[in-house]
Amino acid sequence: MAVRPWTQKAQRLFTPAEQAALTPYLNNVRARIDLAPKYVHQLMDDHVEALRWYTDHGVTLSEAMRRLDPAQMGDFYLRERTAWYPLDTAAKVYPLCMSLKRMMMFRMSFYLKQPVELPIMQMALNYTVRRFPYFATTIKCGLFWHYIDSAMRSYVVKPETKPPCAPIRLNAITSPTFRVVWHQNRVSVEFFHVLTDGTGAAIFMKTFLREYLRLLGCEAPLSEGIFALDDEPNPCEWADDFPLADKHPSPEGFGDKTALQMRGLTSLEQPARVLHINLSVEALRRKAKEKGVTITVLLLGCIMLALKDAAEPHGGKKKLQIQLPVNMRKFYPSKTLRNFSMYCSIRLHPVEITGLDAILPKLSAQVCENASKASLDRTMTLSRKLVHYLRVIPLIVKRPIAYLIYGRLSDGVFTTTFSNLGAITLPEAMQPYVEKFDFVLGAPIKNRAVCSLCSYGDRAVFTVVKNTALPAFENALYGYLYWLGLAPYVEGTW
Amino acid sequence: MTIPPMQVHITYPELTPHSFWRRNRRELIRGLFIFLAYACGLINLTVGGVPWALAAIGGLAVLWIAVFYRPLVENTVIKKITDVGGAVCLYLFLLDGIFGGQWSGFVAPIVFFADLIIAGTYFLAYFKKEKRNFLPLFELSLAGLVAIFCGLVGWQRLDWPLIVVGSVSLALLVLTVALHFRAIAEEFKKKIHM
Repeated sequence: MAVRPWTQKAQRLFTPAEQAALTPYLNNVRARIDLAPKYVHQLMDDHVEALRWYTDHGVTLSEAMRRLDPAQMGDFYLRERTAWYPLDTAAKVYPLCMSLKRMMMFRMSFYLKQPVELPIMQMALNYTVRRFPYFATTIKCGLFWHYIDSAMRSYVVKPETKPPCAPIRLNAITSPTFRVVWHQNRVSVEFFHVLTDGTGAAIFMKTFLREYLRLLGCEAPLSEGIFALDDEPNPCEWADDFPLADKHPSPEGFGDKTALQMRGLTSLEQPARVLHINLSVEALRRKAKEKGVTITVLLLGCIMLALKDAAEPHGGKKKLQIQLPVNMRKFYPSKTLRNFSMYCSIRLHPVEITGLDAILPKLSAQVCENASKASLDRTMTLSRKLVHYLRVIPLIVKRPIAYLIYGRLSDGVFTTTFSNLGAITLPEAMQPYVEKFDFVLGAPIKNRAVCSLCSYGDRAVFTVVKNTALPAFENALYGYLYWLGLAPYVEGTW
Repeated sequence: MTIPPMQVHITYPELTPHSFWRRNRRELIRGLFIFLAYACGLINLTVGGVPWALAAIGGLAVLWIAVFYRPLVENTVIKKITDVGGAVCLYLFLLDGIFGGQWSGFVAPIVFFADLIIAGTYFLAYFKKEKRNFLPLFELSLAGLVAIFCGLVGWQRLDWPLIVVGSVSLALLVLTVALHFRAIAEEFKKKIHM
């Protein structure tokens, strides 16, 4: 009888005495996996590697086996999962308009204070995915809409070898809809937007991080936005909460005038560059208070000034328009991890942009009005109506039309996007291990750059995803942030 | 106030970019196909005569679907078999329209039922793995039933290949329902959700 690969590996890595204890353990693990052979090998290999890592780091084998108790996998890798999930109202458009090089991806990363311990990170992912069955899915075609269907497979933490938010291959039978990559002390999860939005991603990241630290011996209590892995997933986590929104009698919001774009040829390889501008939250807060606005409005002001410097000079009547996503959870009692955000538009004509102090009140007023519940309800009502009317058209007809329309209009009605995820909090016990978080949007189509922000502790990371090699926007933005005394520290790709 | 130039501290691995050819191979091949299609059309228009360019363009389309086309979602064996079979049948109709002959009435149904038999056998043999990808086969079977209906009401000549198309389509649907009713009903619910 052929010796199984993980047994061979265990024989190579452990002493005969250790193997005696190991064999029943590995048999127990194996009994909990019923997947295609390559996934079985991978999961078994993950266990052997993790046990080796523990023994190399002074943890006894029995303690290692306790931490990697196979019961934590439950029957997630054993029983065929037949659950499926219709796409939420916002997500329905993403698979319709994607192409090989254009896919709505976003990424969230955490930076540890120590380099990533890969075998442990891998095991943390193996355990965490079980709590998020609606992420352990693959996209499928229905007669009228796409949907996500449970995928019987394992997930791998891979080294970072592609540009951030590179399109993901979705067309195999169990293709995953997210990927996990690591580089040095950074672990990033890149999600296809059909799965979740920034809030859902943050919950996944924090739960994943807690599990990783638990496996390293740091027991942290549960806190808001962290799920207990033993809990049964709650159906409200995968609910489409768009119907929660109050119906507005005059729905509108998608149509907009073409926006003035920034200068620069779009690069062949996208994104052209990703920059993380590190700022102090305290300094930002102080400066925003001094100007009498919120941090979001202050940064919108800086973006507007930088946009004016980087924009095409002869725009005529075209305005600089910033897409501002708004988390609808603040208006409605939603617990969903699916998409539940809307966006509004913040507009200024370049002529109006004379200085930061001059534009901040205008921006503040626009944010108040356009990001209000009533205004967002109008857009939500419209999106629900659209989905309602389109539902009877077969996918085979809808897809090419949606692709063409999206390709034509795409993000041309905006100059850029600014997505502020807000503050990410962790329990006190986890804080000594984590340096920061960042949040990266996928490369835009026509826009030359998109921006995002998230903060953790005193570190706010303002990310700029560039679609052109021309550095006009980021140089101008850096200049304004420096001028405000925010001491920006910039990290990024090559 | 003098603002220092922005210094970027690299925190990402250096990526080895793929060559231009590799990165854009699909677009390049598509460009070549479109160029050939235009060239055929132009030459045919210049020279005149039978519209053979349509047959050439149809052939290019079949080749594209058979070799290069990969759906972004559900690029499965069943999808490939049904796509290629469907494309070949449509091509035979096109040939019939251009050159005449029995391509659409006789050969196309033979290709159609052969395609159904291959896809259906594969589907039933690997049901556990393929049950979530049955939609293209279902659509093809429905097309087969529509074809035999057309033959039965006299809209199309009813000869043996068409009868086989109808029989194979019906047999496939009946077999699938009889052998795997619960599983296929569950899958059907997913596929037709609105």
